[in-house]
Amino acid sequence: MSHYSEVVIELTDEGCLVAALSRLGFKGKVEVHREAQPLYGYQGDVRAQKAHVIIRQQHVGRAANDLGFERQTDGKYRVWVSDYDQKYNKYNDAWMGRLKQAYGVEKTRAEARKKGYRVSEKKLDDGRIQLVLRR
Amino acid sequence: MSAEIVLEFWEDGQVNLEGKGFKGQACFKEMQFLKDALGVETSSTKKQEFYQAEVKRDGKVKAR
Repeated sequence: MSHYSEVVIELTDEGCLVAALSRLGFKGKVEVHREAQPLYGYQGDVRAQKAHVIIRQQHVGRAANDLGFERQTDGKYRVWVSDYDQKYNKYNDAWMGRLKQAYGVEKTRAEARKKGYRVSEKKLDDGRIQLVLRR
Repeated sequence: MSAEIVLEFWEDGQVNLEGKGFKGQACFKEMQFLKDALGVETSSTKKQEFYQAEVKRDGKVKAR
């Protein structure tokens, strides 16, 4: 053993973001666009916000608004979640944490594969997900 | 013991990486691609083995 690191995950990879959303129950329900598209409110009203990766309101929850991920010029995704959905549909900080957890797992799997690692995955009792990379 | 990298992803979006079985700076080199891919490194701790000699392929030992 020789080295520990701690990293805070950032969303930058479109494919891994979509895979992470699938892990959280949105498999087949995610729109991906080359150009950012408008988000809609629960009454069908067009919002000022746009996004490249979108989950439409009917998949988000009751009386929900669209949930979007907008790619910034630095390559990082900005997340658009309405105040209502944070409060009443539980797309809050805890959900964002689980999304980043799932994204991290998918991103690590993808990068490790390119480097020729074998990856094993285990869900731990306290909610952590453990990956072990070996050659 | 063969070298391996262990990652633990927390539900708050944080991840801990640990290199096992590496000697010296090989650990840093092997783990860097993951740090680059995942996000921002907030802390890093070298363990005792980091300061151990690195055995080169030709059998010579590089002192640290």
